Amino acid sequence: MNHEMIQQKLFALYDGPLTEKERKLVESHLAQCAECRKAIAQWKAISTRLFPAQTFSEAAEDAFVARVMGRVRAAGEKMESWGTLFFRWLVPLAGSAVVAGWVFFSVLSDTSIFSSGGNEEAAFPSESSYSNASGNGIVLASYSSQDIVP
Amino acid sequence: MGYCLSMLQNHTDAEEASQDIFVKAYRNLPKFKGNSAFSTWLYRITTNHCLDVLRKRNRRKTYSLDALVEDEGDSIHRLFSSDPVAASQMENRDLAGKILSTLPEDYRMILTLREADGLEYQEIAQTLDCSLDAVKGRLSRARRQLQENLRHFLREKDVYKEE
Repeated sequence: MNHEMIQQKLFALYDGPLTEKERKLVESHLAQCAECRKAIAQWKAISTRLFPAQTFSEAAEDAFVARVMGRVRAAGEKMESWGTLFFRWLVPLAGSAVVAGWVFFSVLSDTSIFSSGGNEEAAFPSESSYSNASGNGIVLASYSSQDIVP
Repeated sequence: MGYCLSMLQNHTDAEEASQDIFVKAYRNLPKFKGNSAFSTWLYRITTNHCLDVLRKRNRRKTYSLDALVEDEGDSIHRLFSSDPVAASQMENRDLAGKILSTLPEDYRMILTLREADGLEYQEIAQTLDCSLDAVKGRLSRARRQLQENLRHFLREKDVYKEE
């Protein structure tokens, strides 16, 4: 491996995910290359200063957990109240609306059949004229009406 | 919390975001299918949440490198000296945040995941939803840019003294 290739692996060595063979190659290069040693040393200096281990006191952690759990509980109650509203009121209301709608349309369709039956009777004046012509209008008219409107 | 702080550069915002993230995770727990580690899933929620906060906060104070060097040059020199003047942890953390804010968002994110939180390459790839090669490339570029930004503050005698 030349210097360029080693430089690409340099931080992998720092981060850890190298095979044993690669690690040995990079380490032997580092022993001879001042530029690469400087790059790693600089990075260590930056990392320790800009990314120090975050430490929180136990009290601070407990306070944080308490605040989060308070919000989680509040969120849970809010969701529960919506759930209660949904199941106690909205579901029965929606069910009632469906039943009412079904009854309404059933009545409406019955009414329209009745009225359409009347129209059909009116739409076939030839039958009454036929019955009139036969001299037995009443019997023929009622017979034909039953026949047309099942 | 550390990841939020690094992303948002503000302690109050980071605390609030951390709470939001845990509440969000709690609510979305049924959606967690176990395809990745729970921590990776949580990191992904954190990343998305912090990016949302940053998008909403358009007027976020970011530092250009020149402005930072002009305002905080002495403090940065002290931070990187081998015998740093005892600055409070909070001051150093604020300064570190300002230095990181000179980097693009995706560089800051990947550096924090790797350096502060110690995630493996694979975990970072899952968190950021990108390939392993993309992680290696971006991490390498982010490190190079940060080293370049700070090269005037990294004196050899200080750096090698730590070796």
